[in-house]
Amino acid sequence: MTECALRANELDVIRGNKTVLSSMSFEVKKGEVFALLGGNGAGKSTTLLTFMGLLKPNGGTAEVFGHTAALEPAAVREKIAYLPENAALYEHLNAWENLNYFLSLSQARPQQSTLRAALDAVSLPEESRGRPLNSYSKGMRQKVAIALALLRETPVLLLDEPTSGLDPAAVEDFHNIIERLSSKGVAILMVTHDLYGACQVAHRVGLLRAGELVDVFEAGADGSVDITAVRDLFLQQQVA
Amino acid sequence: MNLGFRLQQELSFLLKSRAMLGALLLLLVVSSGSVALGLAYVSQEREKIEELIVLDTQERDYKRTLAVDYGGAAYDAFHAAWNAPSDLAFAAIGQRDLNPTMMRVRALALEGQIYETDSINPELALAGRFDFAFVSAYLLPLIIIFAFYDLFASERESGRLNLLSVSAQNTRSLWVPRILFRVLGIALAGLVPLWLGMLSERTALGSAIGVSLAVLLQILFWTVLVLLIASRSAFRSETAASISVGMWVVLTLAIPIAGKVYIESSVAGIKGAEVSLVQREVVNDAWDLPISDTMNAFYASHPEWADSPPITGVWHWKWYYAFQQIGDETAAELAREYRESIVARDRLTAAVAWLSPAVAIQRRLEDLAQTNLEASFAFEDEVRGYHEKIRRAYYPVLFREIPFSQERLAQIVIPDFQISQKSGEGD
Repeated sequence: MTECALRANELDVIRGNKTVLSSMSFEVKKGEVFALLGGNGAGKSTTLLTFMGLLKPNGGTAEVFGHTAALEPAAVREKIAYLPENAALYEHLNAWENLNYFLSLSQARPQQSTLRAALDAVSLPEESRGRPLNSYSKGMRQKVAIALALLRETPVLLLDEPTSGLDPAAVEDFHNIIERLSSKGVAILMVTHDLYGACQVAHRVGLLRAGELVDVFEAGADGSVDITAVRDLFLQQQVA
Repeated sequence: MNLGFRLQQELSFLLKSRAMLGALLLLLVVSSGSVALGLAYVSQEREKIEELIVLDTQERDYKRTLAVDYGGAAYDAFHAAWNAPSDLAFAAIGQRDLNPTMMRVRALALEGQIYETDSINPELALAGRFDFAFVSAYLLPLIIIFAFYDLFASERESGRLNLLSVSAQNTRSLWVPRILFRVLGIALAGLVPLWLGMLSERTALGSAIGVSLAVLLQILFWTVLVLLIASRSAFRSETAASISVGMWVVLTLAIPIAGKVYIESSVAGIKGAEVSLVQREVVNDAWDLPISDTMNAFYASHPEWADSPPITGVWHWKWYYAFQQIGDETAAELAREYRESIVARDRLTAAVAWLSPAVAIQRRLEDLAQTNLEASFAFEDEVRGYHEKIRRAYYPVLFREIPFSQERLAQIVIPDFQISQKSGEGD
């Protein structure tokens, strides 16, 4: 039986008077890519924050390899790499400096060749790597953030709108990276608006509506989730 | 654990921040400027003292050659008294701006000589002195506010906080190095110029440690205060900045000003000039009184001279010096009240220091530099003692009516002014 990496168990999150997550339960196994699809305010980012131990749920638990995020945040964060929606790295530092700085926070000291390999993997142009990020396009910044997530070499990857701002070629590269990580056993929880991307890369796609997980679609024999079924429900949901 | 790498990255991060480097450079320049000005001030004071001693001796020796009587010799003989700056005075000029540090006293009434500078020093008191104490009290907190007000909010507002929090193993490993390097940068930018100044002044180790600890305590206080404000997650960076600057205004401006207003209204103020005025009035009135009235009053308080021969003419130097001394004695009570009122105000200011770190550090630095009120009064007391020696040197020849001769005048030796040796070691 494949080990469960992430488990949401009857998660309730209430912020102010608003219920953001309601009795949400799901699991992500090692090597599985699970995409949470939903509109604005559906609770996608809140789910990630809860798994990172940055938000305490009002009910239920978010577990990472058996560690409850709200109770053992340090143990949980050791196992998680996170890619935020807007690659919020330091604008005045270049790619090398950003990677070194963020990795030093987790007490890692990577070799220069390792950093180079990660930047090569995300196809960040060689000549741009020594320039401060304030000269980068949004997509280039996102690539550095992806490289950072790769370098953490954690068994869990949390992705918040990972392909936002990437050009089609970069999206394709990113999907390849996700598939490679998945094949290495990394559990990936991805929240996104990108219906097509999610169906293409995820083993399962969950639809979130107003904090509730309304349905989960599994990938078929071809390895992709049936986009038509997901799209229909997603659009119904948007109209509703 | 790669602590060395972590610290190296945090240092590199600090050095790459132009705004923070600019703030540290500004502090370094301002601190250096204050130390340089302080050193120039004390150097100038020492030169003036040297010059005063030489010129004073030359003039006194020359005037003595012209003397035809003891009274005239005493009248023309000015004696320099000085309060040499301590080895830390450059850092906190303190009361040296307000009270005289160099005087030329003679056997005449003393009160007027002591308080004559009171008519000019308010201008200096108003402007204040740009010294290291000023930088520590007022500018240093502003740099600390700049360094820390948006420490957390800037990360939150840029959307980086979650990534930082997940990347760091724990909150301490994320923030402690960043805070420590900033504190270290501020401490070095503020203190290195002071340390160089102390090296050039050969400041005693005790004072050097004391002043460094006082500045570090000031840095610690403001860092903790600003971090407490900045760590409120509800505050945006501009809110944190406004509250921090508001605290600065309250603690460094409003409380000292309110304290000053309260002190001035609650402690009756006597001016030094009033003491001089009373003394001058007694002296001036004496010219219109019968000589015997003055002499009887003088002999009553100084019976050791009561057997002096009676004055038969319309003028005698011993009458002149007698009414000068009566002038001092009449003003003595007022002078005592004046000092008591200053001491009372100083005590209240010390109480204000508990509410205002700006006042507290200035007072602490002035204590260590011996430029505080106590040191000022100590100098005044030394001058009073020295003046008494001058009087006692001339009174025997005046009241015994010894016939004048240059040989006898030469026997009247008044030693140079000596102030109790400053320890320069602070507490």
